[in-house]
Amino acid sequence: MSEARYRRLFETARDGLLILDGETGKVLDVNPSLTSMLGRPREGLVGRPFWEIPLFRLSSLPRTLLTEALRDGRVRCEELTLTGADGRHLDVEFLCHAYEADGRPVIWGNVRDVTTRNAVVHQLRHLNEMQARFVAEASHEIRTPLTIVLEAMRQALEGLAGPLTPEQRALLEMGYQGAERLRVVVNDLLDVSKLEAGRAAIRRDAVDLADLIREIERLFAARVRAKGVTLKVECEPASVPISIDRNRIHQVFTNLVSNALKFTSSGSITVRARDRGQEVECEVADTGVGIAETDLPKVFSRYLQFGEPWTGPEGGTGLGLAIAKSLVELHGGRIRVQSALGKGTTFTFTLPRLGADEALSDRIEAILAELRRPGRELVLTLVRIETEMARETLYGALQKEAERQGYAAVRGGRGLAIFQDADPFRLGETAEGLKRVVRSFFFEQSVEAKRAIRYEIGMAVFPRDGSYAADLVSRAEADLDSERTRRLARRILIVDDDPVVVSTLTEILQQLGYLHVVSARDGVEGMARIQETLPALILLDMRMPRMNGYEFIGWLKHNARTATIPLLIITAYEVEPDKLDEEGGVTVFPLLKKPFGPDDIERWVRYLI
Amino acid sequence: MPKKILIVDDEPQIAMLLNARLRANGYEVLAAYDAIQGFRLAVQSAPDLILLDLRMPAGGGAGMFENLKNNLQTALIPVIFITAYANDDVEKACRESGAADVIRKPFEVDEVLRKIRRVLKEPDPPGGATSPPR
Repeated sequence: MSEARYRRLFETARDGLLILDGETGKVLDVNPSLTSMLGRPREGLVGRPFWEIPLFRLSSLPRTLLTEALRDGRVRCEELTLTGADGRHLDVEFLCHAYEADGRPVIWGNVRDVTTRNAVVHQLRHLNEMQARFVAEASHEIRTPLTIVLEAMRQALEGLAGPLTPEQRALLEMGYQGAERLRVVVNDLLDVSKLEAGRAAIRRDAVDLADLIREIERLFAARVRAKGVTLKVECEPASVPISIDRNRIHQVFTNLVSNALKFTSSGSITVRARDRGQEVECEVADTGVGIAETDLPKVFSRYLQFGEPWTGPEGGTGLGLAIAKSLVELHGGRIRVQSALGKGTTFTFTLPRLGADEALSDRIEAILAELRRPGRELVLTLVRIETEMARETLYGALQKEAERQGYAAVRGGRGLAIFQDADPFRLGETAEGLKRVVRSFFFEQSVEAKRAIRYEIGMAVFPRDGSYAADLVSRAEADLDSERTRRLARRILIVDDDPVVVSTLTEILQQLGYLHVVSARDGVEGMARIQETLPALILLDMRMPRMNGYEFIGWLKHNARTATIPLLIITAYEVEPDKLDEEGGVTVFPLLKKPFGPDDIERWVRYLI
Repeated sequence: MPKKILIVDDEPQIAMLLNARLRANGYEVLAAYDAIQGFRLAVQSAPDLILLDLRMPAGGGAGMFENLKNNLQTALIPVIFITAYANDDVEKACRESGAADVIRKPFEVDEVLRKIRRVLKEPDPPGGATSPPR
């Protein structure tokens, strides 16, 4: 009876099911779903060794499957392509178990059609790539004609093309102002695009907020006066040092004050900064028309619907506040608004102090006190990571390994400091070893987080580079900066005959800061480029005219100078391991399938160089 | 003697506008529309400064920069990159790679002239005038 039940399950299962004899590899049974997937009748399959059935495209796979299944008890293969008798291809996920039945080894296989799922994932990646490409292209394609318009009009207005009649001047001024407005809108849109895609990063520097606010005051002085409004600036205390991205916070203030100015026609606008130790509280308050309570929740959203017409010619996208919010949050701060109709509006935002870069120094000092011994040399590796979560995860991972690997790690602020014993003659190796561990770690983390994680590594040696924490940290930070410069100065060669791909990759790489990107249309041109200057990384397509990817890899690997250059294969096609093996002596290469996004490129390039 | 500036940009209108602006400010100007022509002109005419569009097709901008730095005749000519990428990372990377400065598109004329003067070590004109009076 239970036999009948299982039989029924087998016959009605949606996944394809396959039972094989573990010793002979012969098919013992197949279910209707599988026969329908394969487009073959049951009779044609049962009794035949399964590698004789052209189930999967890569013929070497099935035999090894058998041995693996028998050895490990279980094998899972994703992304196999099943070929039906009518030539149809299906993406399938194949899972098999080996077990014993009546003293004989039996292998049970589950074949699931994932074509639809793959198509959706493919679509999503494609959209992602398109969006990223749009932002990259838009930057250039929009800004260039805008530059031309603005500059041409300006030159005409300044009389460089000769004297103007009043009518001509009036027209040109209209055009120029229109273009200026467009420029503001474009910047807002591109900002928002980048912020949304999570691709904006902040760079912190020591800034005096009091200075910044005074600059804002100067910037708006004329406009405010013209409207008959007073602009006040207050700072407690007179100097507020903080580590922030100056340009971005400047933008936040500008957006808030512009906004205040738009809605205030009499009275005052006050800009304040209050130092609260752990954080700085900033405020932009106005005595303008105020915001209705029902509209308050919508204030920071991208889509601004207030139902109130703008007063005056100052248009705008309404994105200014949304951008301000994103920028404040990128700094780890919060922003809020208080307002009532007729009572004016106050925007308040906080900028937390990391302060703990000092904390890191203290902790390093403490650890040095413990580890210090006459004659002992230690390598200090400083890893600076912007994202809190990645820091925590790396710290956790290091703590686990610490005892076994003989390192000690501390953290503080944006950084992690790792100490290892150093053999003075093998400092380079020790340093490289840890760098490799960190790079692999971040590579995996980026895959999980589905975005590239930004980090930098710098090193210093105790006591050679200093016996005090502050000196060591300084040295490590200097090393970190120059390491970054060296990294971004490395030459990247793209070998691909599709100019669109080359252009996209070049944009992405240049936006990441890699300036030295060159390209070749095929293996032959690639060889010429390499003869000129050795690249640090090669991005390679496989199908090209004159000399394809496989042959090019063959040439690279057989040439001592080029054999060790890291390669990243970027392709829409399947890569054939047999061919790779033949040419390159290896069957596995870093591989990125199209469509790809800028995050994928960033993640791989960061890992490889 | 007027200083000579070489502009290399694959957008002829940008080159033309910059040309007009720079001439109006007393500089002698040469223009090239691709990396090959640009490099050749740099070698032939020994400009005092090169304005180089970073994003010319197929990595031309970066390629030309490399060529300039690898060539004894041109290695010491200061280069200012022009870029549409409004990105701090890119700016810093440009400077660190040996460029004398970076100009972002759309450009502020005053800023452009100021940067050029600074790189050429010229004093600012009194009153900060950037163009002939109307």
